Amino acid sequence: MLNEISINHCLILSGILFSIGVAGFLTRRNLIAVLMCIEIMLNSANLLLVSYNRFNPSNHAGQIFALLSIVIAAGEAAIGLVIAINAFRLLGTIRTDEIKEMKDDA
Amino acid sequence: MKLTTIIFYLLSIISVFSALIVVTARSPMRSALGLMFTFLGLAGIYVLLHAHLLAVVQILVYAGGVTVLFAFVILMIRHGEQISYSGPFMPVRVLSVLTVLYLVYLVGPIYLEVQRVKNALPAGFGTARALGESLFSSKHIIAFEAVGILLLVTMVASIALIGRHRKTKENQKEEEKLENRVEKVIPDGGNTDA
Repeated sequence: MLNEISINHCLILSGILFSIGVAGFLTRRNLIAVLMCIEIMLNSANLLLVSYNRFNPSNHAGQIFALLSIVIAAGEAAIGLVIAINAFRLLGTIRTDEIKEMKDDA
Repeated sequence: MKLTTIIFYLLSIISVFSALIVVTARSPMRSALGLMFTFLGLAGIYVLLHAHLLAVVQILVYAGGVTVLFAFVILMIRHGEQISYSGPFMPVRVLSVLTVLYLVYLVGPIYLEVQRVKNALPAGFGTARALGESLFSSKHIIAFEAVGILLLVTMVASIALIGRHRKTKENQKEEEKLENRVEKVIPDGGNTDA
C-alpha cells in the first residue's frame, strides 16, 4: 500500500471499475442494466484521462478530453434509453435473451 | 498516511461497491441508485485529482442527469427481471473468470513498475477558468463545436425516435378504409350542425 496517491492508485481503481463494467455487460440480461454497465466503463476511462492529466500537468488536454467524453456519454445514454423504450414498445420485452428478431435460425 | 490518501481509499471503496451493486442488484432501480453512488464517488476522486470543474460536471451531468434519466425509463418500462446466472446459451461463469483474468492483465503491469512522477502543479490547475481558456483556445475549439453539433443531433434523433409511430403502409390503408366507411354512414362527414 502506497502512502500517497500516485498514478498507480488511479490506474488500479480504473481497471477494477472497467472490469466490473465488462462483467456486468456480459452477464446482465436487462437492456437498461447493460447500458448502466457501459456508463461505468466510460467513467473508468474518464478517470484514466483525468489521472494522467494530474500527473502530467503541463496542459489540460486530459481534462478536456474527459469533459467532451462526458458529453458524448450523456448523448449515448439518451439514445440507448430511447432504443430500449422502442424495443419495449415493439417487442414487449427488454431482456436481451428474449429479443431474437434479427436472429436467423427460425 | 495522509488524509487525502485515506479519503481516496474511502471514495474508491464507495465507487467499487456501488459498481458491484449495479452489476448484481436484481431490481433495476437499485442498479440506478448504485450507479449514482459510483458517479458521486468518482466526483470526489476528481476533486482529489485537482479536476474541480470536472467534479462539478460529473455531479451535474451524471449523478443529476443520466441517473434520473435511467430512473424515469425504468419507471416507464416497469419490467421486473429475474436474473438466471445459469442461462443455457451464455456460459456466465466462464465469462466471469475471463473478466477476472482481464482485470489481472490490466492491473498487474501497474504493480511491476511503480513510478512516482511528481510534477509541481501550475497555479489554477483544473479550475473553470484555466479549463475554459484551454477549451476555447484554437487547440480544442473544433472538438468543442463538434461535440455541440453532436449533442444537437442526439437531441433531434431521440425526439424523432421516441415520438409518434410513423405510419406504415398497412396502417395507412386501414385508416383509409375506416374513413371511407365513416363517410358512407355519415355522408356529411360527421357534420351535424344542420
